[in-house]
Amino acid sequence: MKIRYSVKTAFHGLKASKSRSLLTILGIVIGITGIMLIVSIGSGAEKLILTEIGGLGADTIVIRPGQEPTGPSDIAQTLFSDSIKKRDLVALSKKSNVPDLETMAPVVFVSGGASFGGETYSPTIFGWSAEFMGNTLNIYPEQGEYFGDAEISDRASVAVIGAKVKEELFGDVDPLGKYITIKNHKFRVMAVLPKKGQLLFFNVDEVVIIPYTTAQTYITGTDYYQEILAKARSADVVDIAVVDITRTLRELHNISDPSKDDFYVETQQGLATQVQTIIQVLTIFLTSVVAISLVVGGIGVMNIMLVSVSERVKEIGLRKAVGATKSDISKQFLLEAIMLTGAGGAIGIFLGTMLSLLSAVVLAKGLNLNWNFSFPLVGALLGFGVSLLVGVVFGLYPAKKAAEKTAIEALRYE
Amino acid sequence: MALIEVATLEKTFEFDGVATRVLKGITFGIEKGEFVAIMGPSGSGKSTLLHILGLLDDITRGTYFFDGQSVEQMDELAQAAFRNQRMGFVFQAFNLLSRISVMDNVKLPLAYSKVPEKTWNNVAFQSLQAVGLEHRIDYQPTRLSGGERQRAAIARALVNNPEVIFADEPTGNLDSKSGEHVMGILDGLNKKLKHTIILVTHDVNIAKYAHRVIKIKDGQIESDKHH
Ligand SMILES: Nc1ncnc2c1ncn2[C@@H]1O[C@H](COP(=O)(O)OP(=O)(O)OP(=O)(O)O)[C@@H](O)[C@H]1O
Ligand SMILES: [Mg+2]
Repeated sequence: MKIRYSVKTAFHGLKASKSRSLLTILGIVIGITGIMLIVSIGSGAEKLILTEIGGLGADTIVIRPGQEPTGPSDIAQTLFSDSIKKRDLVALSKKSNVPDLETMAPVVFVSGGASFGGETYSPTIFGWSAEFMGNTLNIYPEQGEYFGDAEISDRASVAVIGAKVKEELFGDVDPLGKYITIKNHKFRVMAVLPKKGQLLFFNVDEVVIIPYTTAQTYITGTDYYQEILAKARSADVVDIAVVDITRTLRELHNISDPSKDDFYVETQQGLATQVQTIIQVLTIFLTSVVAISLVVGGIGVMNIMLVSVSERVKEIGLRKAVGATKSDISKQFLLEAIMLTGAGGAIGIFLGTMLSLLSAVVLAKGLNLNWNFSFPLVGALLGFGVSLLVGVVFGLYPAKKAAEKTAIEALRYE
Repeated sequence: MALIEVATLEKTFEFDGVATRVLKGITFGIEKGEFVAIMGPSGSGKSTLLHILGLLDDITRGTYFFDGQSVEQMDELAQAAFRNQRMGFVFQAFNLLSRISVMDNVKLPLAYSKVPEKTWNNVAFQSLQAVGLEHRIDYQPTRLSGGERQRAAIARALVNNPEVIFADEPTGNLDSKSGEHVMGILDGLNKKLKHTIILVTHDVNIAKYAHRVIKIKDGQIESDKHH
């Protein structure tokens, strides 16, 4: 039997009971839409996190005080650990200790508001090195110049502010050379950052960066750092640098038992692998949940195909009487099942694309994330393949059943 | 050898463990070009015999040769091809598909043949012309009269130009006027186009069109007369 005619016949068969056909494929539609969404959001999240990590660069090393956190509750102890101080910075800067480090900058977290004139705003304040931040994140000042080592060793009262901070405190006034107040201390604005939005662990637009020395001396009154960010000469020597850093700090802190370490070292590579693993596990888990809905949908298709076979026994008998073979008949019903689930798959792919596009827009605009929509081609191919497979698997039994009666048995059927 | 040769043909139906012997040893031959009527009381096994001859049902015992070929030795594909190419079947109840047009109904046997699809319209149209239904090709069968439906069914049986046309009480559901029209068509097919026609009927007036009448009673041949 000709394939074009078979498709036409199957199509007529399905069109004859339009609403039933539509309801039957609903399970498939929902399943495929789900797969598309999961794959799209999963890969979007992976890309987002990886580019943000990538923003720091594979050559970046982070040294933090305290024990490596194993859960969210451990993060607090990092914030209040005081084991990383100036002496550590000095030791690590020595080429004889860690030959592969290029630059380093400690970070001191500062809480509090900033004000100018009558305006106040609560920015994220870091005691840091603006130069180091600019170089590692590839952000160049929109206006003015970054402060660097000179201002840091002078404990200069200078600040670099984000675009939102400028807007909130200064409006249309040019902020360069003006003084903002943080905790009763005045800081001269040296530079304004370009609009960048959320990046890594902070929003660039809402940040105020002051020299970490100044922050410790005039604001926090502490002598320890929340972290030290370091850059290795290249990504290839990161592993060696980590070993050197660990050895140097253990010697300095008189630690012989590694389980008693009062600091930990993170590299971006480890983080990236972890993120990828978590997202892949989640994607596989969610996809298998959705797979169950596809099986349920498939059973629905089988059920309807069986009904359709018994409704059309006479038609089957007649087709056999005029020369259809068993395989012609089973092919016809199998084709109907596959077209049914294939249509379900196609609708699912369409809906899934629309919904992932929508979620991309919501995530990008609503949550201000650097989220990019990409058509989930893998999800689409997977979804379409699976829906055709469901058609074959669940259409085979009804199709076989349709073919087994002799012509006259089928024609006599009431 | 005749076109159709059956010998000691038997058919037994099994239903719920009960066996019903319907045909009890039937032997006859039908030559190419004959017009045969099979008659007999209700329940005597006429339809059963015709279904077996038309390869719609299988034989319990005995032999059936069609054009010298043993039907029992044909596989399912070969039998389907015979039904498609060499036989046409007309049912008392028409058995048209109501979802599709008259034209598409007539095309049905073409779909299972080797006839190229681009000629289907032409071939089916000629077949419908032969039964005088060329003005009804786009109708759904439900919009046709009984006589028109049976003529559409004959057009379908004719479409692959088979050697034999089997007709099981083709006029049984029709009034006498449409019945005569249908019989006129079958008669023409036999006389002009030399189709072999085997027809089951109760009606002696219908049987008059045939040149030979085989009477069946209780699963056996009671008489077999030419006239
Ligand atoms: N599938 C079947 N299972 C059981 N018995 C059957 C089956 N088909 C037919 N029969 C029996 O076979 C007998 C002959 O049936 P058949 O239809 O051949 O009779 P018929 O001569 O065509 O009768 P009518 O003139 O009423 O059409 C009947 O008694 C019927 O009950
Ligand atoms: Mg009968």
